[in-house]
Amino acid sequence: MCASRNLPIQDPASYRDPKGTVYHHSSRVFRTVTSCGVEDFQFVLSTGLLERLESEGKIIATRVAKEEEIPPECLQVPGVEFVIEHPKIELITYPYEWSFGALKRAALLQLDIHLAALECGVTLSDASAYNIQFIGKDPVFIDLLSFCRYREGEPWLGHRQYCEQFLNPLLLRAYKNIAHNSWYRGTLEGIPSAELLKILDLSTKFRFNSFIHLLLPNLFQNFRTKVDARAISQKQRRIPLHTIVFLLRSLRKWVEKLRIPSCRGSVWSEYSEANTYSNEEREAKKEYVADFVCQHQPRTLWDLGCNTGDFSVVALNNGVETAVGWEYDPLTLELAYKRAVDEGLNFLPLFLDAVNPSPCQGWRQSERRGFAERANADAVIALAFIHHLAIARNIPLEEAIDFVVSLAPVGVVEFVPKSDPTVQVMLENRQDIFPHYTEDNFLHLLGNKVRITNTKLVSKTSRKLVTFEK
Amino acid sequence: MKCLVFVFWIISLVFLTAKPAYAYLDPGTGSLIVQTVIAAVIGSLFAIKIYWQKLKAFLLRRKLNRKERVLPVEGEVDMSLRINDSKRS
Repeated sequence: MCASRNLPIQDPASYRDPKGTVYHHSSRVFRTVTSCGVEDFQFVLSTGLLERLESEGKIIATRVAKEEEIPPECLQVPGVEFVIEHPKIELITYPYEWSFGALKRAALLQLDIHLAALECGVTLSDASAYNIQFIGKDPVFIDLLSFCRYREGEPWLGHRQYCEQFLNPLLLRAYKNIAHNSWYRGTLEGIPSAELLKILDLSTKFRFNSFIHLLLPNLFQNFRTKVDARAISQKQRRIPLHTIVFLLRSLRKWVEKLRIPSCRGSVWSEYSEANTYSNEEREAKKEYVADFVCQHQPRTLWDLGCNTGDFSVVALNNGVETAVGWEYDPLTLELAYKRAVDEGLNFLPLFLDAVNPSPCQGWRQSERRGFAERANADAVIALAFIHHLAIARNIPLEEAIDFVVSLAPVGVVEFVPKSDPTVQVMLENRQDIFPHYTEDNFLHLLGNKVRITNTKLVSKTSRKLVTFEK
Repeated sequence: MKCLVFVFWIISLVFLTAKPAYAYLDPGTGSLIVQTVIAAVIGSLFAIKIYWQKLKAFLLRRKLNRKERVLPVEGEVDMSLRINDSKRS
């Protein structure tokens, strides 16, 4: 029996577009362009727009694939005119995992690309947030087949989608201080304007921007009759370019000004200053992480409960290429992302709750895959973390350990004993139902699954760092 | 003018013949109608701007014409002010 051939796999999220499909083949990414999309694509190529945007880092690198490199299965699909190749993006993330800051940058990128395109006679056929991915901390536009020739009189068909997938989640946070992540994960297609309008203040709804982008479209949508579409004559249905540019520019000015309402820090954002370590203990902990990274040299590292990213920064400074943070406190997540942007770090903090990470959902429950299924880490650090699972969230200690060690081949876990003030606070107003939560048991359970290669006591409250290897 | 009439017509049509429609059938129509309205508004603003410029130009020309009749055109002598040759001696 011969070895099984490595067949190209169609991306489960790439099925709607008749203009082409994305295939994965041995860690390369190919996109077919069919006869449906070839005319527009060649026009867009001829304008030089793609090269310019690529050089500015705004869109993903593209090149026409050579005949001999293309897997034959891609060409066998009927209607394929030619095939382009993109570099593989290491970590696919979704808008409901992004922080406010990340979504805002993605929203601005979408508008900037559209405005630049219109100058060359090109437009974007849709405005889906899933057309943007993050490479490190920076958003990059990936759906090349969204670009099409601008036809005079054509309206901006992506307006509603832009509002629901980019604008409304940002407004939810900026005006109501509600993080968009959970709601967005539920609907997959953003926050519907009709729903958002129900919770916005009257004065906000009637401000000029909300009026034209939210209130008015929603009003017309609700009360449209069978007559009106035909009643608007063909000539009047033509939308001049200045209207589209006006909408794009007004959105850009509005999104640029959106900010998270400043408020007293959350418990977690003040954590960095007021936690249970002294300065020397903190430095000792950082040194331990630095040594761990130098010894194992992981390329990608996951930081569970990354807070503002202190230890991810240490890891990045010691040779890690990419750090991904898991953080479920919205304010801390923003601080972590802001830090990544300000300090130019290859660090992407994401809204991920270890107890409830992103699941498989979407079409056939494969379109948007669960986090663990689309990402891999070379190392994981779970510092000041396990007690939040084992005590605060009632996860049995053995399962919490199992979860952490399942994520990567090597890692550092910190054990925080019951005598520690933080755990004392957690247990203050509840029954202590954790007889098995002891250091000995922790080390015993961990040792049963993996090899413990190093330990260190890092605080007077007996917090211990433990390095494991599988 | 036609644009403004159209805008008022569309708005009154919407409110007077209102009948809730199912949003899921065609979710983008609201946005398209708004784009039509904005196009009409911007179009009328442009029209107003052009007419205003024409009006300004017209008024300015009238002002200039009036001034022309009062002042002598450069290089020519106002004959009525010339001293009568016979009176010179």
